[in-house]
Amino acid sequence: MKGILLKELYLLKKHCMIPLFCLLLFLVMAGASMGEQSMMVFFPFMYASIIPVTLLSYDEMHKWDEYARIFPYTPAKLVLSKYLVGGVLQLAVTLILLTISAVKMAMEGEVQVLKLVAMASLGLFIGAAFGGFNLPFMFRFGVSKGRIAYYATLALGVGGCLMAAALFDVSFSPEFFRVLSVAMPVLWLIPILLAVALFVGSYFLSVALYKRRYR
Amino acid sequence: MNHALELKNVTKRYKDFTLQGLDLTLPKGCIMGLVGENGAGKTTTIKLILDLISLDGGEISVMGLDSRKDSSAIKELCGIVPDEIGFPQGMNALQVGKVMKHTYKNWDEQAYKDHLTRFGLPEKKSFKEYSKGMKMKLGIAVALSHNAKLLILDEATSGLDPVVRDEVVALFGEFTREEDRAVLISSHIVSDLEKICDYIAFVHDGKLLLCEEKDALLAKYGCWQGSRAQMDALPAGAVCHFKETPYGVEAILSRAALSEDVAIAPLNMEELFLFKIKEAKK
Repeated sequence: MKGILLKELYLLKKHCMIPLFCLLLFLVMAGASMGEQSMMVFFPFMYASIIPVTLLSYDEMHKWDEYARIFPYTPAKLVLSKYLVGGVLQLAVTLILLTISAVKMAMEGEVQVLKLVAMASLGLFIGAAFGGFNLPFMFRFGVSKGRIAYYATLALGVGGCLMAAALFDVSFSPEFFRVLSVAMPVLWLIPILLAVALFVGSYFLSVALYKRRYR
Repeated sequence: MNHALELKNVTKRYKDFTLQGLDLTLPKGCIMGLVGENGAGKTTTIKLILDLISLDGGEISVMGLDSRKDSSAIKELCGIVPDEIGFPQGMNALQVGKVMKHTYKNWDEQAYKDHLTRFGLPEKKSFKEYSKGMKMKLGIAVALSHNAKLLILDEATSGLDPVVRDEVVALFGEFTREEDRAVLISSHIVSDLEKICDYIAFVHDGKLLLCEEKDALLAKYGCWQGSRAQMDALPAGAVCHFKETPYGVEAILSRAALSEDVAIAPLNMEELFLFKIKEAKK
């Protein structure tokens, strides 16, 4: 496992410095926009979830995906390396964003812990959902075909949700979340638990699909 | 356990191709050449040995280990060189060494450095700047640096120039000086295999046409040149295969059917390979 992770680090250092720098910029922008009900807060989580896919695309481009199979790496370990990179990035994004936001709140007078927890909780969920949904397609079909499958499913999913929201008149206003967070702070644990469950479930699905790809 | 590799009735079915009931045995201390045209089933056989694809029937054991159950352990014991080496382009040989150090339990850093020096591979030049020959040499250096017992090479020499190919082929001969080691090398360049192999296996259209000791083949067959009339005068059953050229006839003769006074040259494996394929197509 150490060997694969070291290879991922070399790949990140060589090919992902610009995406990582962009991620840092988005984090600063997201931190600055805290408290303005902006979706910008969640963008770094989504952006970070794409970096493991970028690593996978380099693996394919360099033919490492095929070559790696001759080494004593199990399919589970090959898949796990991408999930670990994704997980570590999500946690790093959370920590940095929490720090920037807390500093900003402190400078403005009051650190609103509940708001920070809500942001981190929803952010982690969004990041895990994006990454967790994305990666199984990539491991099954490869990055090029996987992206098509991913976008098609995403379009269907989002379209379905929008239709359901329209049909049942659901309104996810900021006020709705504010009331919810004040009334039941413990509820913010649910997205975190869901994020973990999603990510772990997605990992096992990816391992199964990766094995099928080469049978 | 005297066999490095044993395949029993190995079968793999695809929509348009089937590898049928392959039986192969590679004793320790030996080199086996797996010869076949493109698409004959050589790479499929190697993928099955390494459990890279699923087996539809039969059994494979590598150094006494079951290829299905002990896949990771087998990969520790095997040095594998495919036809294309796929290290990440931005990495250099030093970084490859560091990754491999954490990949193989028996990684030998000194052996790796010695191979890099021997092959003249620059340690800090990135992989993408390597020539095809250099990339292949790096793959071979990795395969030889973790105390592998079985070296498996899939068309590893096909893209190399004759000088590098000769150097690399000699290295495989050195590898089997220790008797607990063996080499399986697949290629369609029969002349490479002829130089170093102890055993020759011909695969055609998913079937094993022949698997024998090279010396036994040399003792069994020989090459002969003459006129058509001279050939017709040879004993019945002596001519296994012949082709007519503007200068006469070239034939593969069975030594067993000949009297000692007929002078024949050592067997040319390529001719035998072509003969076996033509025979199989009949």
